[in-house]
Amino acid sequence: MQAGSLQRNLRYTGKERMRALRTPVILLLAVCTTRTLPPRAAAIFAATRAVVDETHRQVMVPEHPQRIVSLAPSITETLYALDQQDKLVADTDYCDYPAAATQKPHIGAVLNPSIERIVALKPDLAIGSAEANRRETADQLEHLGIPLYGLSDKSVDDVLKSIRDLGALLDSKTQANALASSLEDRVQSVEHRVAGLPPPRVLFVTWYQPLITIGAHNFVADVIRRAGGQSISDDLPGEWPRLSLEVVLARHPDVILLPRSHNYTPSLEDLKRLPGWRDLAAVKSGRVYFISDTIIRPSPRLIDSLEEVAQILHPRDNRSAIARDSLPSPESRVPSPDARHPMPDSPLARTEPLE
Amino acid sequence: MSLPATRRNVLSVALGLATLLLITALAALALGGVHLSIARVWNGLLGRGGDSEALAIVRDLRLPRVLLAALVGAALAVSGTALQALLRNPLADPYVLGISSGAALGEILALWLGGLWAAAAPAMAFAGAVATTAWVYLLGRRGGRLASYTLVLAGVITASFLSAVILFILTLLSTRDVRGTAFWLMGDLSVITNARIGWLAPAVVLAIAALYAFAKDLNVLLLGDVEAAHLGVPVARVETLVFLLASLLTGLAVSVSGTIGYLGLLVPHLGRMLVGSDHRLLLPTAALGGATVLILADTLARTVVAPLELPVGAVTAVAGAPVFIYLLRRAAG
Amino acid sequence: MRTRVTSHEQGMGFTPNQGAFQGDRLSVDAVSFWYPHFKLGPASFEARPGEVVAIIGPNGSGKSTLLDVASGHLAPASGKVTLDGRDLHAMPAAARARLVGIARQDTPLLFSFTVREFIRQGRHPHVGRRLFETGEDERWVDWAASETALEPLCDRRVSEISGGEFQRAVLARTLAQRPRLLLLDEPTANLDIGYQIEMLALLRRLAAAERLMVVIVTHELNLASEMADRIVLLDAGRLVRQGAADDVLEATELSRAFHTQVAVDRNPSSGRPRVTWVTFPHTGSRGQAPSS
Repeated sequence: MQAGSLQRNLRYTGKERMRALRTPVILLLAVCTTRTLPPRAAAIFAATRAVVDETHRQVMVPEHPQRIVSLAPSITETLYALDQQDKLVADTDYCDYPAAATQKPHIGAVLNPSIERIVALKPDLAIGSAEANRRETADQLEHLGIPLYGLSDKSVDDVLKSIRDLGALLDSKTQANALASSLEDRVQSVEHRVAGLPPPRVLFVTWYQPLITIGAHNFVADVIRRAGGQSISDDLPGEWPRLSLEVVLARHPDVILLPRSHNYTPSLEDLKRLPGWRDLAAVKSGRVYFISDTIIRPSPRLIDSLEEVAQILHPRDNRSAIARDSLPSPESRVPSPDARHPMPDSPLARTEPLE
Repeated sequence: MSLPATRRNVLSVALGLATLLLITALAALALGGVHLSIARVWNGLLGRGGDSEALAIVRDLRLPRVLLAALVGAALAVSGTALQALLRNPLADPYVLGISSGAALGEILALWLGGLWAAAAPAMAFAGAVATTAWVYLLGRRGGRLASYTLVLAGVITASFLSAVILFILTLLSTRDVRGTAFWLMGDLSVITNARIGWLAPAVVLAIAALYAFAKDLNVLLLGDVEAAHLGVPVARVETLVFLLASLLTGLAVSVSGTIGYLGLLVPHLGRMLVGSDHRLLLPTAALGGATVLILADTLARTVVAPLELPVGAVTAVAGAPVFIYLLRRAAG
Repeated sequence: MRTRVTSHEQGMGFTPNQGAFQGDRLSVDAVSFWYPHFKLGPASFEARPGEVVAIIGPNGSGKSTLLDVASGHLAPASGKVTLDGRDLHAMPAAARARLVGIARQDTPLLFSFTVREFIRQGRHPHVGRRLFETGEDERWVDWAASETALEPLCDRRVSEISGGEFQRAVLARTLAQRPRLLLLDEPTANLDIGYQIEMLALLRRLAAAERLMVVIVTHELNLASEMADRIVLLDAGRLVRQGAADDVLEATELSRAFHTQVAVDRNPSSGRPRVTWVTFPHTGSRGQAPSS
């Protein structure tokens, strides 16, 4: 009867009405604050705080991240260095250091990771690199409610800052500061040693066919600078400019540095056969050094590379922190287990490193 | 302007254009990321004067590159000319029959497989071009003959399909390799060795000479298949051989330098503006003109953003579009 | 010489001149050709040097097909075509091109040659292995251009001349071939009456002077009447009548073939038959009586 239902409605008191409204209101507030469709209730109710990441984006990160996805090998390395590997639920296919990182579940490549796999792992935080990852990946993750904290490393100082920022992000400030400080000490010791010494002219070869080198705003350039060298491509714009070999000839570098890559590293003999390369004084005199490819990875081991480069550019004969027999000698090429050896004139894999 | 095709005219035109080519080549040897004076270029070429920098730049870097540009430019222009006649279509270019996509697929497969396959990338690219040529030929035949519209359709469909396959493989490649292939796909002359020029030069020259033997037939072919048959041209045989030779030239060019665009389309038209449509004049004009244009484009690629370098395909695309529009308007008006 | 063959005799496979010397003429001998939905033939006719033969008939009657078979381009399903005693289809195309010239409705070119270059293409069968034309070739080109009054246009591009001028250029190209047998498909289609008469007069003159055999497919019944030594009438793929104008251009026969009422009278000045259409006022077509 009409009268009966009316009576039932009137029986709802003000308090009951408030209670009934609570959940919808909270949800509404949550939607308004996060500005996305809430995919998982857990994410909304966990404690988060707003931070500004290294790419100047504002991100809502969890106070205590427990499930982290790393989107770049350098980040994975840093996480292990900070002893945070237990929180790491997945990394990329290319995360190869330390060895334990290869056992973690993988989410694909750096440029195009599998968003589905990331989501399936239910992370509460993703960490990416502005130099390695794509903006689209960041946007997609954001849209799906997974916060992405971006690092940006364009210099050695940036790398150290990243370590500290990650420490702050992951409740391991003390560890991070300790690590960063010790790395800083090593950097300063190198700088101190090479201060005042005339800097050799350095050509850094990211890839050799066609020749891709480093521009001015590149952490590799900073490493070389701090190690007491002068990159001949310091005036070039961009991060990985493609340089004309003619210009290299005109700028006669004293030293050529090549990072050992997964794909293929040419030997000195190979270079001595290539037109243009074989006319370089550095090639003729054998001052071509094959260095660890950690130089293109903005991780704590970058400092190892810095020391390696400093030792090459300004060798010191007496006591050194680096064991003598691990020094790369000219003309050495230590093939990595999966190195392939195509002939030097193949146009294959004209690559740019991602980090 | 339309010159009558006489022996004297052909020789005069060839001589004139060859002179232009030499001048352009000389300029290309002098200009670049580092500008050299003519004197230094001369010393560098002859190897005297003790100027080791000039020697290295001129002899080791620029000379082979200029030669490569000349060969590739000639190959693409002649191939475009032949295909425009064969298909009776002024919009035909060396890539309309899908050959460049086949070469690109060969190249990218080589990259993907790595190792020895990657070492033989130019050969793989060429194999891709050959396979695509055969495939399109089989598709495009009608009643034992090459009908131009079915040929074009077959080529376009094949190119689309192959592009899809290429994209698929690109997603499987490591991300480092992907960035590298962009240069190749755009067209790049910076990877040269003397070995490449060694086999490229005779192949290109022979193929162009063989096509020249069909110059008269190409003229008549333009009148139409039936008219040409009535005038005694063995149409099926001529079409097949011209198709094969043009595809060979395209395959050779693309396998060493990637897909350089616009050249094969525009140089024949510029040639017609200069000497008319008679192929006895047009083919040498296209060959020499194509060589000159590509050397010019490559010089620009090396100087415009020096000390950086652009891929030459970027220059031909940027310069080619306005030229194309100009030609279109001229034809319409 | 004009022979008169009735359609009855034609149907019985009677071939005129059977057993006589077959050389020195074009002999189309009981040829037939099959398209998926159309059958031509069997048809026989002849053309002797100095003669002009006109093939007439309604649209779709197979005139162009017959011409293509007569030229050696289409191989007949049965019968054969001989020119001066030689089987045209057995000949290699290059040899045939030196004997047979065919001027059709060409499609306009996308690439422009000059008129002179266009005419010069006609010399292709004679240039052979040589790369360039000789002085003699150029003389024939000049001759062809002057015969068709195209000299002033020689340096113009083919894309810049009018439709009628282009048609004359096609004829000139065929003339430059110096063929024995000249076949033309609608050579007067785009020409004004002045040029029509001029072209057909030219053909008559050439046929006589050069001892050419000329076969024309035409819609111009009256010009055929004036110019042709023999007329062949086709209807739906059958050769229904051939012979002199007087015999073929006959009102009932034509009316049946063209599905319309025609009347035939005589041209007062030449005495040749003259075909006129009978039109009704208010409809003006196809001889139908008005419905209301």
